[in-house]
Amino acid sequence: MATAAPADTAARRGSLAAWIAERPRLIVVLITLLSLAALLQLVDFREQRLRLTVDASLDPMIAPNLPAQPVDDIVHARFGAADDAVLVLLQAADVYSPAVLRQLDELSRALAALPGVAEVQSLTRVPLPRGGDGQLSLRRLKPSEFDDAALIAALRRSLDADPLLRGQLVTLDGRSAAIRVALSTRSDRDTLESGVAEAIRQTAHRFDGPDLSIAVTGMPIVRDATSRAVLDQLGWTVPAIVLVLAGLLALAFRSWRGVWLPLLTISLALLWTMATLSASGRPLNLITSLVPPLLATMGLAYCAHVLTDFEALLREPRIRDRSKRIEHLLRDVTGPVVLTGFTTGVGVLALVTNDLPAIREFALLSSLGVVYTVLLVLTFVPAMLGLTTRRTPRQPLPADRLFRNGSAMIGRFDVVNRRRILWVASAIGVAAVLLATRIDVGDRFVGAFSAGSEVRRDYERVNTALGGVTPLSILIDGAVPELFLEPESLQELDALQAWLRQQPGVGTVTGITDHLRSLNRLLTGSDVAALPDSRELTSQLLFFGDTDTLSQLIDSDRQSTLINLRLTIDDTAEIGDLLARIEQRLQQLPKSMHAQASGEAVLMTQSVHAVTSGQLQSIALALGVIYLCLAIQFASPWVGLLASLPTLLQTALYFGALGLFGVKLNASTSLVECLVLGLAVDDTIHYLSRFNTAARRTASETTAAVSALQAVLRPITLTKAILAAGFLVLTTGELQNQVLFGWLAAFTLACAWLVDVFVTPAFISGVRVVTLWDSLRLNLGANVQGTIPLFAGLSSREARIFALMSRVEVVPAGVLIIREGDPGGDIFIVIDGKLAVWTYRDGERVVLNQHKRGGVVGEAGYFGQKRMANVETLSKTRLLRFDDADQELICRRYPRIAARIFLNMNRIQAERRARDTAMPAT
Amino acid sequence: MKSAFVRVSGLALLLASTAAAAASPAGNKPVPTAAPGAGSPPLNAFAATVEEINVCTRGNLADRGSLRDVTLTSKARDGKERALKLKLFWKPVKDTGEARLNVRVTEPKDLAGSSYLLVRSEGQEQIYFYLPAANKVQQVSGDDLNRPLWGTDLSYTDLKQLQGLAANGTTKRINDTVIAGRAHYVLETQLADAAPQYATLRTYVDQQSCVPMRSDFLDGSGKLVKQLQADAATLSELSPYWFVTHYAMKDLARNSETQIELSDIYLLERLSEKNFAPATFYLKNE
Repeated sequence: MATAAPADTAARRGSLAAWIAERPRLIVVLITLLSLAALLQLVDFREQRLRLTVDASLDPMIAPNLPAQPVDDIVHARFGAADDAVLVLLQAADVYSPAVLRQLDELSRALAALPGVAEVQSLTRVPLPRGGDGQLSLRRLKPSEFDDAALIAALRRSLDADPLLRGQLVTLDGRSAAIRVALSTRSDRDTLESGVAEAIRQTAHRFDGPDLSIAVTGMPIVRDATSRAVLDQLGWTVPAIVLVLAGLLALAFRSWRGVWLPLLTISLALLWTMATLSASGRPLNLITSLVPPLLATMGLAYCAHVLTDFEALLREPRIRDRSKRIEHLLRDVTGPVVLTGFTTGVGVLALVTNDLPAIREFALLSSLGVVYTVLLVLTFVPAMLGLTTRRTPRQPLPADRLFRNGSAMIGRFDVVNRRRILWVASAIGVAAVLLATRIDVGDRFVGAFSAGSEVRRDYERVNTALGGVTPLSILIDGAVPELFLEPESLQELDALQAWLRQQPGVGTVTGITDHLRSLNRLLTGSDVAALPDSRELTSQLLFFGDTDTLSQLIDSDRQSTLINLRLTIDDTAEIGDLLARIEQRLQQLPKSMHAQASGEAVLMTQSVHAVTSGQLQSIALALGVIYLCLAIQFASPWVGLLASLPTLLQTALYFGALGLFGVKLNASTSLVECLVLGLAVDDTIHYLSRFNTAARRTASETTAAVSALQAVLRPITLTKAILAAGFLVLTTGELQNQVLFGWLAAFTLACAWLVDVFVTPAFISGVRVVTLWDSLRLNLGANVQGTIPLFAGLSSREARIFALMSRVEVVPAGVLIIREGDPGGDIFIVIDGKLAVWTYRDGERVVLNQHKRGGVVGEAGYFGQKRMANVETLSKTRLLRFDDADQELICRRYPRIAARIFLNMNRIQAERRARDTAMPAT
Repeated sequence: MKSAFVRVSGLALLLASTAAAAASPAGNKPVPTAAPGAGSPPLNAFAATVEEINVCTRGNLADRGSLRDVTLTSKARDGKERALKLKLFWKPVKDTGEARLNVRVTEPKDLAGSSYLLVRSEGQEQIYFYLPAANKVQQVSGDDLNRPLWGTDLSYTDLKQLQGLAANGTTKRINDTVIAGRAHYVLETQLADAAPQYATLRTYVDQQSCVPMRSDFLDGSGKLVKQLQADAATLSELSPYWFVTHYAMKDLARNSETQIELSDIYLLERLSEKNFAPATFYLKNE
């Protein structure tokens, strides 16, 4: 049954190829109908709108179940959201001047009137403390008071003396004023859809002028700008990729067919994929929106492989019939395309282990897109090629000679310099691994924008003027109610706040002790803003001074409080270092207090770590699955590992480059490797597949290594160029992480090309690989173990592996395969046919022995002697031939098989000596 | 940053006025009594103007000295409850009828003795408070009237508006409605103050009693942000006055709630004037 299976499989594959080749019209009609159905699913023609919705918010980018999330939830439930505000900065020579105060007031009112704005706080919007000596007034600054220089001066003195207000609404130098705008939107998606962040930005910048400079920032602004930048980029990325790649295809094939067919194919793949997403009811989000460019580049690369093969077949004079040509094409490309589709699919599908739901959706959608693409490439493309190709081109493909000669030259270089290349590759690999140890995990949210962008400039200005933008909170729970009424507890909090203010990266720190100092000064009429010295006074100050702002810092039981920080840093690696220091300091608090960090900065940092580690797991998983595929394909764990080494080297090079150039590992940079891994291994598989065939045909690994490179240099160069060009389109975007994504992807593909062209051939020329397919296809005849003594004790599969690691030769009748007196070397086993062992005695030919199936000849020579007789084929004979090098190879790769073969050979020799003591050895 | 203590007087004023309709002589079993001359003439429900409705509402206010216990139970966002007990002394100026109010905290213990004084003179409010721990009286004034105070959901404006005591803004009568089988006037006031939290107040006044039974506080977009609801079961008539003894204020934005329980009221015909003097209001002057 084992021998029947491959025949059936081959027959099935052949018949399917023939079926497709003979029915191109039917295939095209079926695909057209399916595409129409997809179009109807995607577009509502009655309403004239897309059914697919878009969620451009950053909500799906936040990893769920982060360790800090429960703390953040507690903070929000207990104290309400307070840190997600927009900050508007006004800078002028003197913000206390009447003209600037009027503009400040006008802008504050304009902002307060915007839909989606919950509250606006500014110098003219909040009640400010005035007076003294038993009189306390809390009043807003009115427009009629803007010209009262004495009042404004007194107000400024009062603000500067208040520990809570000092530097908050107006900086101490009087050159910058802040407006804090709290939003009523509940989520990032709400904010984006309401357009409130953009409205605030536009409203504020209307006040820009020669005497007044405006900056707008805050997490809602940064997130909104990020979402818009990504959306904006997506709007032109796919068309730009298609345009660039169409140019490349035109250059590569110099035919209309070489351009429109790949473009039509990827359009259909995208249509089907987006229609499926629409049918699932899920929106396209910022991560799944990467699927179209990915499918576009990948689909074009697949098409390039098939078209290159087809163009070669067109120039093949032996194949004239169109359907036969398509059948031939399908036989050639189905295996590699399915396998490359599988590995690409595995590369992206490995992301389903990620914590981020959006990345999991991306994994599923892109792997589905891969399936559609493979299906179309193996049905629609051949069918259209069959229908549209009328004439056989006379001209060779562009740069044909260059690729032919170049590949031969490079191939020979690889084989000749095999050891040197491998040493260099190993050294680079080791260096890359060492460099990779220097990689830091981190991301920057504002840093994603270029230094000259408005978002970045405004952020930096506000950061500098107001001392921080990125919010971070520390939740401190007391062991007992009313703990934070006790003076000792307040002293602890005060000391902690003082320590926090000294930390690099910390801009402002606000806590309950600041409020108490302020209230103590205001309500008791004291000149000094000291902490209250008794529990009762604290309690009464909190009671009389209770406000929304205060209730956002301490709970009603006075058992739980918050310290709010604004950081001047937005790099999660730096924030991570700061959090580690804070964590150590929090450990030093009394046992009656338990403190935990929370807020946007912590969530951002943990999210980056979670997503990155998830993607590293995905990369490891993808590598594992790719190894598994290769091990199965080559029927050996060891060979699978060897075949995976080029991919591992490429992965090491990528991470080494990150370490070398100080690029941080984050969601973007780890996603690059995940995607490129699946794409880069495709060409390795194509090469190995060609090599395997060539090795079988030529019985020489070195020749096969060169020959395989000649066959694939053109398509792998073209596909790598297509993919790299596609990713390089991203480098023209506004977001620096996308730019970096594009460069890194292109760099990785360049590395993968170098590895494919130089390292893989050099490496593989010393490796004999046996594919599962080969092992199934090789027919050693019935009852191998019973009829060939050398294979006794081996399974049929092991016998085939041994046979394929050796060489199978078919020798016509009358050929002398061993000549007497020659040095020993090879051993021959008769699979079928007949051999005669003969010598000359007294000038006459004497036949010493005859061997049929299972017979072994040449083993004496193998053990170092000269050939002592001639061996000649008496009929057409199939022989298995192996030498010392083959034996060495088998020993290394398949030690169990080698041990059995040696044992059997000893038995054969022993039996022969016992039986033929008088016979001369051969 | 923005202190709200200046608004406590408004709350006290409301509570006093709300409760003053049901009074009993001090030291006796509480017996509800109506203030002489109080009340208002019946309205033509179809033709009543805003002003007439406001007059009718104010007709439920008592005009004599009284004492009442109040319990405010606030439920914070995280579900924790906190109770505050107050004694509320109320005595309008004899000749002018202008409101005077003394609020004294009795519980919790740390706050006991904390006092407020509100006096109105020639239409101007003067507010004082006393911190026992600092032994200090401070006069305060301010214009931030819409912030919650004392850790409750109530603000000065909320309650003042509810009682029609100082509806600063433009009020119009809109379509009447029926709630729980009772006809209500609906008054809509566009608040004059640039209130950060809300811009419009919609008051539902019971047509029979002229008691505000519900107030909806709406933000600029017309979204409901707070709601004060009287417990209709506690609506009582002691002719010619109507009153309610239980309210609930919900802050939908903060997801919090405050229950207001009003005890019986004791008339204090000889309530000392010292309770309403800035220098002595915090002392035990009864």
